[in-house]
Amino acid sequence: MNCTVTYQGDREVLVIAGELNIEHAQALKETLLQSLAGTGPLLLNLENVTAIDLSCLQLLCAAHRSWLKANRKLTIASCSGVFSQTARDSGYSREMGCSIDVDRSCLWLCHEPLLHWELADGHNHGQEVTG
Amino acid sequence: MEETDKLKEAFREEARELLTELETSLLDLEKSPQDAELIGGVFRSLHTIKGSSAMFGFDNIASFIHELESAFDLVRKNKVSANKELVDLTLGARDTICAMVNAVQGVEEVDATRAAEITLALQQFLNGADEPKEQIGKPAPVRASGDIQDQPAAKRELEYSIYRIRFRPPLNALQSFANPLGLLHDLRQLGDCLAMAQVDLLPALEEIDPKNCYTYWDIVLTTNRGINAVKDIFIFVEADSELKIEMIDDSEKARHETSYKRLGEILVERGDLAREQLENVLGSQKKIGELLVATHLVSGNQVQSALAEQQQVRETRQKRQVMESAASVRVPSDKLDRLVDLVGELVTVQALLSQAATSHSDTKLHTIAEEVERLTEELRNNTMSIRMLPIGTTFNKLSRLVRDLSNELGKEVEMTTEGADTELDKTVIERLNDPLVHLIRNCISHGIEAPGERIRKGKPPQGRIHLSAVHSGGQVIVQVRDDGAGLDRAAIQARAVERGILAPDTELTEKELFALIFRQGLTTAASITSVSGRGVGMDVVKNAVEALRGSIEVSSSGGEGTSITLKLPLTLAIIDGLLVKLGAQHFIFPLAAVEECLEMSHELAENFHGRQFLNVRERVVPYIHLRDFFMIPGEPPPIEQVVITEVDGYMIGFVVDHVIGEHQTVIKALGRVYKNARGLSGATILGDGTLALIVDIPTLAYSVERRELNATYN
Repeated sequence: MNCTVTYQGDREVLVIAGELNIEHAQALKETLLQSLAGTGPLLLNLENVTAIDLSCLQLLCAAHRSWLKANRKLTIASCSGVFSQTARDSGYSREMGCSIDVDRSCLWLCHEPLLHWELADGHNHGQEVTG
Repeated sequence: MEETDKLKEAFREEARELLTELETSLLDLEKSPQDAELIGGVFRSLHTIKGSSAMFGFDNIASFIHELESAFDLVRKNKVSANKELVDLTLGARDTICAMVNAVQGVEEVDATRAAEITLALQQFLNGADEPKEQIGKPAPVRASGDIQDQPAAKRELEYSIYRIRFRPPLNALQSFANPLGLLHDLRQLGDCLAMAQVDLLPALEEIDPKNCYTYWDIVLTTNRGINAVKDIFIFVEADSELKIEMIDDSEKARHETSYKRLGEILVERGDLAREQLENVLGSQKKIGELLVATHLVSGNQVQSALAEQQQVRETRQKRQVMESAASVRVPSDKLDRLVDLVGELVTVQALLSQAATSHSDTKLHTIAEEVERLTEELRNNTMSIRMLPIGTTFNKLSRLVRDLSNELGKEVEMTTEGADTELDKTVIERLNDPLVHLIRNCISHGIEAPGERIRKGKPPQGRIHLSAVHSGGQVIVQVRDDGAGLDRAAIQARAVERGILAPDTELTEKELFALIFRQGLTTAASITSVSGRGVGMDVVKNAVEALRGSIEVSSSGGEGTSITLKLPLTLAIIDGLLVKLGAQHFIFPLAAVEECLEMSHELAENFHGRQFLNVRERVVPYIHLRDFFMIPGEPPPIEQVVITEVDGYMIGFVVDHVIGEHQTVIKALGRVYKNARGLSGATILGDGTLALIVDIPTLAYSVERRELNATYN
């Protein structure tokens, strides 16, 4: 795993590349905690991630919650195919974030609707929820 | 037949169909080795035959296929290419599998040496690939019987269960045992799987231990593999995990219900929401999922997962309904034959009824008889259409023959086909196979020249055989055309003279000359010359085609190729006939051959030195008195009628006493005693219970032709 930090104004850009496996999870956590110590929004560039496992997916999800609690923004600017495929395969991809994700900034929101919402009358009305 | 025998028969039927598909795919693959769809098709056919073989206890077949399946798995993964060597091996293996399947019935013996050679060659082929050997040499897994995966594909698609799974691995899952993502991957191999990761137990970044697993999953799995297969996935983790597997829907339930539970009900059933809470929220008419999330009763993820379940069950049920409505039923062909026989009997009885009704003035009886007639005709047409099969299956078999024979003879031949979806009665298709094989063999061995010779003649090195089928009225015209050397007229004539079939210096028309190639005396020769003419088995072809009430024509242009046209009836069981009368005896002409009926008059008939001709609209048509031919006693009526027919492109008239009219003719074979009766091809029973004989027009025409020939030369 390689991490590079750059800044665009007050925005921190964290470029993470290589494998993100359980052996790298602790290092990733520390990197993210360092960023959390800052004050601005964080932009993740995961374009060159070649592998990711559940431990690091959980870390990114937890990081997003911490950012939300701190009223700050954490966004994935771009990611590799492997990253998005693993997010889908692991069941992380979704159309709606957790209860604290009021501004719909959840990292796992997919841009294609998976489901149609059902109205209380019990019928699907085909209304799509997009991220 | 016992249940097991029935199942085994079903296996054999399915295996044969798959082997036919396999052969077709392989031949196509040879032309387009990169075609992923074809590669997938070959792999699927092999995989299904292997699975079914293992299920029915034919482990020898399953293990023989295993190497092949491995090979095509590598091809699928782009690790080896489907080159000619592999296609050759697989075609050989396909024949061995076919023999193994037939051996189950005791129809054929398996050449064990050949099977061992193929296995060895495959292993050598695979060892040459990059894939590690131990993977390839794995023994064939034999599945437990009753595993639905091994059932025929169509049935398998319809039988399914939907499981709701909640899987919560222990905290130390990431460090101590199987990767949960690996388990999800394995679940996906069982069927359609929608997994939703639930992250509500996930702590904030500051508190998280990155080596712990905080995620759990709600999974909806649609599979036809049975609950044990699902449980097997979790076998090593279930002791430490929270695991709940519930079957929420299956094909049985889907038969009776089409809708599925509402979202709220699913959430209550899952334990994510209390019923009272649901009822409280249901007061308004907003989206229930949003309402529940807004009131913090359930999380958005839980709602989504429940929606996923709802959607998957509904979609699967809909899919099942569509498939069920399109499903077909496999019926043994002997049952169909029996059905056709019964319909034949019914047609005869219906004719009796109609005749009886005509002789009574009871209008009610008339109405019933007419209704029965209408229904019988509809039933007849429907029954016959069930037995119709596309000729394409026969064409596919021939393309294998072309490939193998041209390889053997060192010739390059491409076969093209047209009208493969033309339908013919199954009996006709079955009996057409041998004549077509003979024709194709002749095309390749005698017609199409070797590449060098073709180049010398200014032709492309690759020869062409074009096989076509097309409906034409009540007949199907099948044509085999090649671009080979064509028939050598001089050589045919010389050989006919040499064999004593023809007097020297006899002048023959092209049609008469080409007809000689169907004479037995010429057919036994290996070939007329090495480069021209045909012969081998052509009499067999003609006999087979005529036995099908068909006709055969040859045309050829020297140096440019030969075209052989077979005209065949659509069916052999029931035909539309023209009923005629000669004295007290009835005869039937197949209506397909009848052109018109005329009154015999002095103006029409001309007698040239004892030779009988009609002048039909300035066209000279030879005719024959059927009374004379069949030696029917008594005087003909003062005004006779003549039935004009067309045989091999020529018009021939048959003089009869009376033309009665069209008649649905159920063909009955003449007994062995009448096997040699010339000019008759069968019989039928008329409405009044009397017998009518079916006229064999080509034989009669041949007699007329011979008579005219004799008159000419005498």
